[in-house]
Amino acid sequence: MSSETPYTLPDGRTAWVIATNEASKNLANLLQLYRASQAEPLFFGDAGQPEGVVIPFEVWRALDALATDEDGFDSSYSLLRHRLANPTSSIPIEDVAAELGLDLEEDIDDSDLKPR
Amino acid sequence: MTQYRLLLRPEVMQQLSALKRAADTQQPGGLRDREFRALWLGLRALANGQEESFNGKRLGYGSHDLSDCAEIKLPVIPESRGNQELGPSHRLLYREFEPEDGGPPYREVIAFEPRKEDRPFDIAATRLGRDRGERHSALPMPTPTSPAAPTRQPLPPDLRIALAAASNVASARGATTIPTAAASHPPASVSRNDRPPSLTK
Repeated sequence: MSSETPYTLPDGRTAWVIATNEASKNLANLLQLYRASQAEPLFFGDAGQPEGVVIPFEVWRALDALATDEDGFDSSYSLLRHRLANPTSSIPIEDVAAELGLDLEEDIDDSDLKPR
Repeated sequence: MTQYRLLLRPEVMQQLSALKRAADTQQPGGLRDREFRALWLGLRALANGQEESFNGKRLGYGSHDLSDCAEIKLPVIPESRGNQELGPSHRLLYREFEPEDGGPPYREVIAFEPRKEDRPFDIAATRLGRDRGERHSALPMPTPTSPAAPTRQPLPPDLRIALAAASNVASARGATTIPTAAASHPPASVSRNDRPPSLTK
């Protein structure tokens, strides 16, 4: 019997929720997947309700930094998944600026940093 | 003025992120604030082809072969020995690649470090997988008349693949507009294929 329950989100998409007692048994396997750069989240909760989610720690750190940028969340999450799968790939400066909230056109005070 | 498409090694991106956070919480003018502004200034200089204004020069092979790289110098903190100023404290190392799409050439930023004890070169060599004493290319040693920019190399296969993948990801942007309500459940956005996580049981 499957312990996964489909949960329909407000936008019509589906999150598959694993029972809490089953989720705990899968943590070791999940960690192996994360180490293999398969950064899928694990939704868990009781009675088929999504109450928690397990994600790679590095993803959490990056999401935490982006928490105030909801509009850019989806593309940022996709990019992060790509980066986790390709940890040595270089990143275009435009993507770096977007992820870090930096404005490429903004003036910075470099009066004390100019080469002599 | 030649423009370049700038790529950052993931380590440099993490460094930029950490410096920005530190700078945001530090007094203006503190070390991290200065490092953050210097790195950002250096990145702009490389994108705009201003390496000559930052004492740029090609590198060669000493303990490690970095002959396909170049550096610019950034004065983050004043350093002196006795009454003598020692010059810019930090180095920004990069290399350059041919475009394959008719666009501007690429510059890949490899390391931003204080120059002390050859740290920038050791870090760059490690990130590029260059062993000590091993020759990587047949490029000649730079001379005082060599250009400040690095010798432009063909785009390496791994970078070509990464750029293609990033392009595919980027092209998907805007294809899905997340309503504000959905954005409050961000991790669920990865279940767009309606498949459960593929756990090995």
